[in-house]
Amino acid sequence: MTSDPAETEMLADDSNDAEGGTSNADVAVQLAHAEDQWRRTAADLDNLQKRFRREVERGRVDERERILSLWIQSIDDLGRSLDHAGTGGDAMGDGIRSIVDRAVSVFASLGYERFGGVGDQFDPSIHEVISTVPATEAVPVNQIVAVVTPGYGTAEHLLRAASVVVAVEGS
Amino acid sequence: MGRAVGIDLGTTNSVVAFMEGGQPTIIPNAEGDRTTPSVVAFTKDGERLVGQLARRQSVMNPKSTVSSAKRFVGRRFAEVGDERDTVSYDVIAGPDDAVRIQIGDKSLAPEEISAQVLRKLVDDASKFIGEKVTEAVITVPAYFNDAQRQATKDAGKIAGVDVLRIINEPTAAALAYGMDKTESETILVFDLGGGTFDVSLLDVGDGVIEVRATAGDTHLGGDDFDRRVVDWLADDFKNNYGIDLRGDPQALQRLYEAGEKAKTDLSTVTQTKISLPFVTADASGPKHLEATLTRAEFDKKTHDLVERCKGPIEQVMADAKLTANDIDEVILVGGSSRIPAVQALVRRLTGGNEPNMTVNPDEVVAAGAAIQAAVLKGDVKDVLLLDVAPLSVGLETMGSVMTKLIERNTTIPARRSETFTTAVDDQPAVEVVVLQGEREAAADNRVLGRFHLEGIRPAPRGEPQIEVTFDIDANGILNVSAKDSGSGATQQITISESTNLDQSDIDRMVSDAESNRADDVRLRELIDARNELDGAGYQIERRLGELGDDAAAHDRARAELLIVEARQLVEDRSEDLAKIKSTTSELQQIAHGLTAEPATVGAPPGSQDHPGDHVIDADFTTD
Repeated sequence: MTSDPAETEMLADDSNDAEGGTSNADVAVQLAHAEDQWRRTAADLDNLQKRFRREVERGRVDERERILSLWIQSIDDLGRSLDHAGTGGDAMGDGIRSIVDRAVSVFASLGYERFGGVGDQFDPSIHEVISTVPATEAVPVNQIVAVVTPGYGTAEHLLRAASVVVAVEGS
Repeated sequence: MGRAVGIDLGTTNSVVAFMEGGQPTIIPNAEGDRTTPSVVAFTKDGERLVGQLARRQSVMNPKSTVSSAKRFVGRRFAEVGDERDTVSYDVIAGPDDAVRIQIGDKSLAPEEISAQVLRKLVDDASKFIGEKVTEAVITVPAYFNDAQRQATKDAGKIAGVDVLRIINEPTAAALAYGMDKTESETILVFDLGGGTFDVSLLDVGDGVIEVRATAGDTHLGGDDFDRRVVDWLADDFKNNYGIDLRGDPQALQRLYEAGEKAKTDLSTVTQTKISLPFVTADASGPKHLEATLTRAEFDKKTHDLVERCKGPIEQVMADAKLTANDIDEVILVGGSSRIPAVQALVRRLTGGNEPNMTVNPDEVVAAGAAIQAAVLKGDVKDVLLLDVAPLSVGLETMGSVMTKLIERNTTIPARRSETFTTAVDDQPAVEVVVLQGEREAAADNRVLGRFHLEGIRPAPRGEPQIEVTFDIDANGILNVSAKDSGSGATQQITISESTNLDQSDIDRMVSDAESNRADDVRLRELIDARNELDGAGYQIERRLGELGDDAAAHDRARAELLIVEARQLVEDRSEDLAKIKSTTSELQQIAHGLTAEPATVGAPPGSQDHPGDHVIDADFTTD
């Protein structure tokens, strides 16, 4: 029996334990370490769950915005075609106008209302300046004089900024 | 105590990341974007805008919108003559030949501009993490001198951020790929950003990363490629219609968007269509721009730009006295490194090395900085090494299939329980056969062990509830126990060799399962259907027994016929799935008729819902 190396090792371990004081302190340190590790892991798990709930929601919004963004240009193009289609009584133009209206209402129903009005004040959180004109008495500084492409969304959830022409000081 | 982040403070765009669950995570800014333009604007109302907002108003406020401040950080006014001409704002000489940016009547140091960008990144990061960010690791180009590094550090200080360390961008990229852990390697980092190009050669060994050589071109980047496409489109249009679209801001904006998209598309496809309907109009009516760009054509138009990458690559190798054969790894950084012709050039000049680009090249530097921040904070010191179960484990159930309790790749320790029941009436014992593997049929998997649970109280099949628990501890030791809730009898087995498989065995078992998946799924479906049929037949048989003469004669005759048919199908191990399913559904219809008929019989109908709706019928064979 005693010649069994495993047994000898066990005995040696036992005698170590018998020394008391220091090894108890070691155990206490190990226990504190293990407890710390366990709490960290439990906290990590809790945080992970919170994070995944957040990320699922964000992933959903991101994907929705990504897909809508792919369609925006087609709606822009349809809108541009209307600039060339007479202002009324033209059956083709009226048809396209109603297609655009329907598309815009789909965007609005998903929370991305179309915006961009001539006369609005420029706001960098929703407008992008693509060119400028000198301000006049009728058109004060910072006022939008033309909307080149409309924007979609709000400052908090912006799908696309509106491209605008703004009045600025001087020439 | 605040959190630490990693920041890639770029010339055109900046990115911030932090460590989450042991992995670097890119933090989207308040606008929801993963990159933030390194642009700061001061409006006439005294408002300060940073990032996308600043960029949106730059056209109306060019003198007070500062981009590319990084080009001036920590430099002498005398050094930046050429750079001054490339920006829209006024760059003046400050005290001691320092560079100053004139905004209205104020003069600002470039580091004050960088500080505004850092402030926004850190504020947005704090909001995202939900904890105050107080510390950061910031990256700078490898060629930055002491003054430029100090100025970047100062920018952090101005922003109220404690800069843990300034590290080189290529070093951060290598960290993101975990290359600091390699023994001894030479790494080439190729960084083609929006407006700057850098190449660095790194020496890695013993956890130390050293920059051996660096070269580049401070005015070469993705913007140049965009401009080529735009010019080609505009020239083509001018030839056809005599109208120069570059003179129309709206058309120009659309051209740039289309040009950038075409460039991006051509990184994955070999041909792309550009269409800008109603791009302009003249007296004869609206004009549309329609063009097709092939990758070959794009490569031809940008050939000289790609060639400009060549010199710096050769330069770093010459400076480090190395040849292409000495390079062990190549890392691609910057969005434009996605261009196929650029990658081909890099491959050609580095001895055919397949470049690393699994980490998003726009984000890899920030990711590496976040890793460095976590290391400096000691956050990664105490990471528990987590193991996974290499193969699924489970038990054999009715029809000799394997029911998995712990799926492969589950992080261990893990514990899963499921309730099973008996397969025949008055079954006194069940045999638990513990299996390991990925196949559906029990016989195709490895038997790890088996035991009997005896002393189950006599009861109709499906009624006893036997909870089987699989528990794999952190050392991979599997403990399986079974408990009959009726009698309280328990039995268990400990299997220590469950994870002691060769990697080659594991790989073989996984690939076997892959190649047999279609057959296995069919087999599983068949067995499940037979089990369902068997259960349905049994239920009707019991029901008929309880009802006795109360059952309508024609129902009884029909039911008995179906039961015989069902038993035959099960005994023959029929493979006629359609027949099995149709018989099952006929039996289920009869069952409805039988329960509705007898109002006078004692047993409440509820008791007929066999308890096994939430238990799995297990083929616990009788002794």
